[in-house]
Amino acid sequence: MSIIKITSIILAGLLLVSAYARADVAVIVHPDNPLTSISVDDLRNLYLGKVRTYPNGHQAEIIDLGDGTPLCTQFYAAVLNKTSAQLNAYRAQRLFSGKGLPPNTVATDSEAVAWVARNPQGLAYVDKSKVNGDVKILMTIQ
Amino acid sequence: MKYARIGLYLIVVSFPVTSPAMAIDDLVVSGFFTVGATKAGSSATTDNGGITDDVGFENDTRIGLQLLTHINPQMTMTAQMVGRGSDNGYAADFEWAYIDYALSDSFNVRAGKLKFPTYLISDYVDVGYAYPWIRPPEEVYFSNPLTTISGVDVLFRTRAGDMDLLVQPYIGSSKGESGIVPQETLMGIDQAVTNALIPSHPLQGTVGTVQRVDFSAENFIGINASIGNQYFTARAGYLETDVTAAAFGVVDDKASFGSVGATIDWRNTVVYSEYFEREIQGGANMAFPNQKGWYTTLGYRFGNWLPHMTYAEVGDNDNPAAGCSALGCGVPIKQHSTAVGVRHDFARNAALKLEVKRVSPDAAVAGMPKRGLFLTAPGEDVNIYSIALDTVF
Repeated sequence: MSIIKITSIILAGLLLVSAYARADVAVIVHPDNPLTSISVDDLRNLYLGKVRTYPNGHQAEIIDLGDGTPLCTQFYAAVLNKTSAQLNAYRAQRLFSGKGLPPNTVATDSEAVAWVARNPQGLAYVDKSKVNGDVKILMTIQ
Repeated sequence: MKYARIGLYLIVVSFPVTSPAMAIDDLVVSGFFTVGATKAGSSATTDNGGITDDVGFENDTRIGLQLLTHINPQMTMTAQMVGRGSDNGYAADFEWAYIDYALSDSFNVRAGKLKFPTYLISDYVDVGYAYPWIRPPEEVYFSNPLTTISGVDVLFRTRAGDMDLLVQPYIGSSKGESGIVPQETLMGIDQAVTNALIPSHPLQGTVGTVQRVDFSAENFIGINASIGNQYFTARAGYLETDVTAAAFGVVDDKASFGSVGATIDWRNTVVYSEYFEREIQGGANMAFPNQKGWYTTLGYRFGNWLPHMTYAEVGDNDNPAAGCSALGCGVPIKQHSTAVGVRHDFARNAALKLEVKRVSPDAAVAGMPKRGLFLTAPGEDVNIYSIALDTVF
């Protein structure tokens, strides 16, 4: 295999990776949720199971996307500073020592949007292109 | 992590408001599974009988199944069963079976059968997927043969700035557990002399056999405290209990453990380090003498690969020379080891691990056999080769 061919494969790979990295992730809540923004720290604490309420003290219900999707990998890296494997190990530590359950999951962005639209306390992250008028965007992660 | 929620909504639907006690919301089923093989590089058997110079699966292979159900928004019930290999084949036990009552988001009371945190990973030590090694360093983790209590603990969790604080007191008893008597005991004394001296003593027998003694630990009380953030956790713990082993003539001998430890996971650098001291008085000291030990693990993550190395040491903790019982006092274990290993997260919920550990057993008291954590003194350093596959579901 020539150097040029290898280089172009690597470049194509990098382009694919950066294409994922450029997908906009929207953090969404129910339109009735009084919050207008949320910090990365608050999001991290919610997804690591360290808090169960919004910054205003209201009960929060979060949902996660199915493990291994490119969007969740991007979200875990940007917000939680963890790879999927690290997060799974962390969640296993908590689950099997009785310190907390991992969040419920749905398989697709569309299901996450529909779930948040039904849940006034709900929060999810989805591909921004899947967001519709039934939910409100709190934050966009690029 | 994938796990199943099986809705039991039928009951709720049939009795919408009449009987809240029957409103079992859901059942969360999850589990973990490790298949591991071990082999000692020279003729040696570890003192739990688990690792020999033949390839064996008994030491590390285990499967856990956990069921959790919400009784109401504050209350959950959890049962965790773990099946594992032993020298009698494979057997399953409840490691956890408890009710958790959440008084608030930061305050939980749990009652039932609980695993207590002697060390950093004690309460999830069966879940290989949750830590880097195939098994945590024996030089520290061997020291407490008890892992569960029947009792109560409290999880008080709060946040200060970006720090998470945990204070976890626990109280109870550990009854009917069968402990492994490592035979430090009579190793220093000529076995024939001992057998003649105390013919009915349960430690009678042949050097190099695994002996098991049932004992109970009453007035079990301890505390675990930790502080940390997303990059590190530091913890300290202390526990005390009164050990009784009727067959041994041991009644209410005081045992205590103190330990400190920390773990770091920062910018691909992974560190684990722990130190412990154990003190046991009276006749129980024969089987479990005063020990102290520590280990440090350093690792670095390259994507889904985590190579790591560990140095570990266990030795004498000012064990008294005489006065523990009619036979005197136990003889502490002394050994050190270096291990290298790698964890490869090759699939979403699975990791493959390889490890080589070079164990150097030593004599705690000059002139005694260099036995370390083996059944009999191997007479040389021993390499232990291990491979394991860990999953969670």
